[in-house]
Amino acid sequence: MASGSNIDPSHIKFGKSVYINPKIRLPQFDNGDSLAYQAYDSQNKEGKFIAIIAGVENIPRWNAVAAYAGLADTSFMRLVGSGVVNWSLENKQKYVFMYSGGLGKCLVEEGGFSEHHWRHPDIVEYFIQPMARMFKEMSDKNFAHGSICPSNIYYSGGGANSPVILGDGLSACAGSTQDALFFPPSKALAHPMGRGIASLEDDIYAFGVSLVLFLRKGNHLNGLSNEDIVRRKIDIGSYATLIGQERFPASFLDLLRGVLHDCSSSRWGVDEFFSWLDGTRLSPEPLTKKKKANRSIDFCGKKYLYAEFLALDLHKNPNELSSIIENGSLGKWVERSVDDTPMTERYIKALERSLADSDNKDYLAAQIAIALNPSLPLHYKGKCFTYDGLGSMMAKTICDGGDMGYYKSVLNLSLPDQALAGAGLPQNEVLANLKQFDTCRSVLRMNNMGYGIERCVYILCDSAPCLSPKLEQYFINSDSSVIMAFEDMCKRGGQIALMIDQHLAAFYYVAYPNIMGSIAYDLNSPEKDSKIAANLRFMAGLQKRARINSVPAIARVFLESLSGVYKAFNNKEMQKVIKSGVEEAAKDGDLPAMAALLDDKTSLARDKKAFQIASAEYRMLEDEYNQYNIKLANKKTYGVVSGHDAAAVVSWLAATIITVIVILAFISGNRIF
Amino acid sequence: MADKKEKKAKKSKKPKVKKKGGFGFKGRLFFIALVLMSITFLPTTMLLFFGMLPSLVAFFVNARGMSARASTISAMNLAGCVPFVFKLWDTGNDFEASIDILTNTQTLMVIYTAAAFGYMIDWVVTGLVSSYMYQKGVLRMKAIRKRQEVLVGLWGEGLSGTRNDKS
Repeated sequence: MASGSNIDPSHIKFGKSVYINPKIRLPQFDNGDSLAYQAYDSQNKEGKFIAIIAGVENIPRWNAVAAYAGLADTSFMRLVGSGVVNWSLENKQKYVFMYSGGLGKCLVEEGGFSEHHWRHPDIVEYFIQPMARMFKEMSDKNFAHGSICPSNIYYSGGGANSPVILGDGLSACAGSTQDALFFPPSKALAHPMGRGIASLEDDIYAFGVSLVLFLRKGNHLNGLSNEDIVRRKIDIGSYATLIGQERFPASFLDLLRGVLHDCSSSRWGVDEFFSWLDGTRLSPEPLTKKKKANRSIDFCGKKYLYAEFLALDLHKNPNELSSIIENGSLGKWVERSVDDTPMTERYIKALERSLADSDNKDYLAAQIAIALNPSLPLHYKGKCFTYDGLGSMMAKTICDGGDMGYYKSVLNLSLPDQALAGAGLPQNEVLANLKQFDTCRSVLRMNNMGYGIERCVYILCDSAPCLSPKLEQYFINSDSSVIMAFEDMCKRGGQIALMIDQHLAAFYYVAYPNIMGSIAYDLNSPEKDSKIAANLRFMAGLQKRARINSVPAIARVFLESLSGVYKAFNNKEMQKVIKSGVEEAAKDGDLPAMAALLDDKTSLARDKKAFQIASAEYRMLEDEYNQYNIKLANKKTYGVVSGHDAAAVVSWLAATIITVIVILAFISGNRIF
Repeated sequence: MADKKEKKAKKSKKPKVKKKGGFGFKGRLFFIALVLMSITFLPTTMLLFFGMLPSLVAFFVNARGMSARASTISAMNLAGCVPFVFKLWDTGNDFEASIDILTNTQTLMVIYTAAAFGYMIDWVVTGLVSSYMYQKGVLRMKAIRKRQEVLVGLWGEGLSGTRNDKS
């Protein structure tokens, strides 16, 4: 089709020989807002690829690429490459995930029904077994997919009677492209970007839902809202909610009951999955029974007999909640009617905590909701997210230009810490998460470069690229991407030497704390020259690590701003030598050489010592000058004492000579008088 | 014991004050010898007393610390006296000879002219030396300024510590 010489100029190059054709869309492989395009290898006509293009706003999982590339199972879409591409359609950089093509249709279209003609053994062989193998490998390689749904599982291109292929799970934030149906009640109501880090347990649950959608013949959930479905899942469990009155093959029911368990710790894992495949009959654990209150409580015109349902609705009317707390009816209901001691304790603690911001009724609602149903996501001031989904929510808000003050208050009120308590995590994970939140609160208190809410984003969302507003046209996730972005900006002009901004500093503080630590002092200095020197050192470090030989445009920008930096050397001759050296290095675009010249510790120490000696000499000369100035002020008296002494010497000398002559004359008999 | 040590230390710490004025033991011995010699050689003493009157005047007139000028005058005054001392010794070294010499106008003229010459030496040499030293001082000041300019040229205004050209 296309050879190296006659490539359509509108095609976007990726890597050495792969081109993306932006005119050919492959919508069946889209992952949410990450759109799929056809790509091809210009060297090999057979090479057809699926390029999924993700923008910064999708928070793609670029840091999980290495783990995904290590997955050997053939049922994963084969990732042939990934990286930043200049997406000319939007005139900005995007992250591309390049998969090998040759896939068939998806198992079930979104909102549709399966058109399969597989018998039960085929379903096991071509769908369930490949999924189990993939879960096993994901478990071994510590990877979670985060985008499992039947519209993202494909028939093999080789024919219907082949194992299914699992679609892309990297091009979007984990969980953000799945429908709420694919999540247990603990995550379903959260904002798509706030569903937290992908986990194998969630993937297994999503597989269960996918299997139900694949097998179902009707849709009894049609017309129900996400909240209604969650309410039903809480009421009767996910399995019963999804199966409904549908008649499924009996052999799959145990599997579905196991993988659709609402509690992640009781849900089937990989081992149970394989045991079921081996034919072992396992009985899934029953659902934990909710405690029914003796009498109902009125809230928002509805009567509640279960605290779990009340927790779902508290955020809808915080004022009424406040009044039923103040008149004691909620307290009595929890203590006497529900009669659940742990819940009562949580309720009392929540009331105590809410005193920290007693005027904030939304805070009170969030606290009480956590107390009544700790497994639900956090609902605060109209936003809903899980404790581990906060980071990606914040990143998305920055991309959308939203107000970050909300997240500052969430962190300062320790809401994620309290939501964490209900997640049922092992103690070490709880402590690790609490440490993260503590770190966030401590960085919020500081105003230095690289601190503040921006740093919290990168601490809590490790897949967030740098979200600096000045770099919004670029996808910044590595040293080379930073360097190349600034080189491009410097070429365009208007760029100044103070390149590091709050976001870039925060991003690198999290990714490479040692680099930022070494320049932190100068970066926060009030002197502009120190800041410029810190910027140069930072960019030089990046160029060195990225192994990019030459960045002449960045070097030129720095060169124009270094006049004050040379003054780190006191000796003017040395300044000239350094300046000419820096100019030479700038011509080659060699930032490390420029920084090395300005940061040469031996030369700086020698210069400092020589300056101290020269300074001492200057002061000594100044003292001597002042002494002379005082002495010479009266010309009549200066040197008179010495003059008298000299006169005495002369006089005594003359007198001695005269005396000797007189004595000689006397001895010789001659008389003078 | 400790009190005694402290007292000793206090005593040793007291600065030793040199006695001003008066003679020491050697001085007193020398003065006695001089008086005895003067009595023994009374005619010579008389001649020298009248001959060295300008020196005595110079010693008493000059301010404290200006003894160098008196010394200059004394040297030449003494040189003027020496021929007449020899003349006295040659003519019997008695009072009559001494009075003869002293009453001779020429003698006093020679002795006092020598003393005046001493004063002249003091005036000329002091003027020359002070002028020379003044010029030397001026040149040194210029050299200091030049060296400071070189240092500032090499190290910048920050060297003086009063101005900081880094800011």
